[in-house]
Amino acid sequence: MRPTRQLWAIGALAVSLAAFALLVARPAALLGTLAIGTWLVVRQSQFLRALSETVDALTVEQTAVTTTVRAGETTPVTLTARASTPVPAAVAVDAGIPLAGRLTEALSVTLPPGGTRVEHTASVTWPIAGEHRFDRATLTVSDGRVRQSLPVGSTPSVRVEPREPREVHVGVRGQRVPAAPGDHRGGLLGSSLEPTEIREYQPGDATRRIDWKTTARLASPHVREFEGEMDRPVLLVVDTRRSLRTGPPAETKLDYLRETALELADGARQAGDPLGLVTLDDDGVHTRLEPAAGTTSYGRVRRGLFDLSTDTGEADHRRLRPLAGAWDERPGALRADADDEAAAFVRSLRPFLDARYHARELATARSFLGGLSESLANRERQVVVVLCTDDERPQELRDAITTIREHGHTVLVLLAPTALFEPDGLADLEAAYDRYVAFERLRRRLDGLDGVRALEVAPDGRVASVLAGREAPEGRP
Amino acid sequence: MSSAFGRRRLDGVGERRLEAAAVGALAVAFGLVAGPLGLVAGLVPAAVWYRWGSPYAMGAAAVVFVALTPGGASPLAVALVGGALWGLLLASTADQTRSRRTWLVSATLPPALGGLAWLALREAGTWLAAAAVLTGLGLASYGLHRLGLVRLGLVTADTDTDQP
Repeated sequence: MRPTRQLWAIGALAVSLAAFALLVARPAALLGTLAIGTWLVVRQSQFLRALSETVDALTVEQTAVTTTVRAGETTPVTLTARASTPVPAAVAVDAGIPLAGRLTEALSVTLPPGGTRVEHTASVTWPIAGEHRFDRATLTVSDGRVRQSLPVGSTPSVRVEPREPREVHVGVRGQRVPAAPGDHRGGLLGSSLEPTEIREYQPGDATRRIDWKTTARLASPHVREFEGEMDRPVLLVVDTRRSLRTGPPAETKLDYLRETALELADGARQAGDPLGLVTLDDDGVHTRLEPAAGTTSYGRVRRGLFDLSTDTGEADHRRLRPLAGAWDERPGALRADADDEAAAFVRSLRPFLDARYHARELATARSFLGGLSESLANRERQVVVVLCTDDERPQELRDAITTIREHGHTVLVLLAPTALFEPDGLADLEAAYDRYVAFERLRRRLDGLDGVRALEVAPDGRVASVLAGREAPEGRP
Repeated sequence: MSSAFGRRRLDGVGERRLEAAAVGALAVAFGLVAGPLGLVAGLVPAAVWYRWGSPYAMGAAAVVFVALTPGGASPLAVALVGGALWGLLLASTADQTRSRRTWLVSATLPPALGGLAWLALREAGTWLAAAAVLTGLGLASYGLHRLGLVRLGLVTADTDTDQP
């Protein structure tokens, strides 16, 4: 129980009277001390009784509408105070929002005298992932002289999941397939510990490979062959240009491609394959880690992948899209209403903007292909190039694959379909389906190329949604 | 609810009237002790009560009582004024509750501590009487405070604290 300033003043008066009695040597003044002191004790007793009964009658609940949210999301939280009988004095209740929660406004309720129920809802933002348990709500009762706060009510918890791709779909036409770049067994003979065959010795074979037991048994020199378990260098080539940042925060194309690339990196580490990383942005090569085995190398690649910025800021890579195209895509009504002056203005600007757009796209493509070619040049060993990109630039993609193949490397293309990442992309399922069909056509063409495997990478739910709408009447694309 | 706040047997006006009557009785007591001057002096605690409330009126009454008895108060005068103050105490706490515990405190604490102070005064003087009164009140208040903590479940085995 915490006395208020008013109570302290009254207590000070009682003590002052005692001091006055001593000062003037008049014990009669102690009558005042005694009366005021007793008054204080009685009030304290009354408050205690009232407080106990209020706490017994009151039920306080803190309820989060959703108990599982994503980091950064906002969810309503309701604080309810309910009394079985009308409360005699004003009761204030403050919610015990966890430290990790950010309130947009204070979440507290005041039950007025005679009230039996009050509730208030406020929005809480959860920026930090984890399991966050509410503190108990704080009940405060005061009669103006004494004030007491105590914890009451339940302590629910909210689970905040980190922002990351939920379920990554890797496959073809909505069907999941393993994303491994290929089988390790290359069909070549090498020097591992797994024997495959015994053959007659031929000039040029190393004498240490002669199997002496077989030679003794068959009376002519024989050598034992072992299956060559090839280590297979993997080079992750990640396109980080603006178009790859399409999608909701933390769920962009690049986020999904990164998750897949991380899976592949783990697979390479478990298989002992040398692993490298090349990231390409609008200016060409941004990061280059040569394929190497070893914990340090794998860790470096993983860090490189985690360091990729997937910020969607300035994600509108179409901001330089030819004005002519944008103008022609206007709704019909708007087109009809446009005045001639505006049309003339657009016609004047069109050549300039079109030229800028194409010049920029050309420069970007040159940087991308140049960087890719530069990264693949002068490699003695064949590598598996895992190209993580999207379907925004089909011609450039074909050129990139041609470049990789010209260097003698095999390619695994992980393609993010733009149709499945654009905001409101699924608002019109018909249109989304048509765009997905176009994507699938591109993927199939790439997959048909020699030494190329092309897979789609997308949010699992979105692929299913697009396909579900058209699966029955027309079948899969 | 049989709440200490809620079991109101007197409304606001009734409380005020009861206290006013107690303040009037206090003025009458002063009149009996000091004659007409006492009656007039009784207006001081009445005015203080009207402006600030009962506790301050009790303090003012104590000061006025000392001023009215410059040569020392007789036991009868102390009994008269003390009784009037007790009446004001009961009146000012009657608004909230009539619980047994409150009655017990209101009815027994003043005579108990008063008797203790009287004994201390006879044995050692004013300082011991003052110490006895203040110590008794402090112990009573602290006891209630601890009782409250226990009843509200704010004291656990490992944290003996009054912090919620």
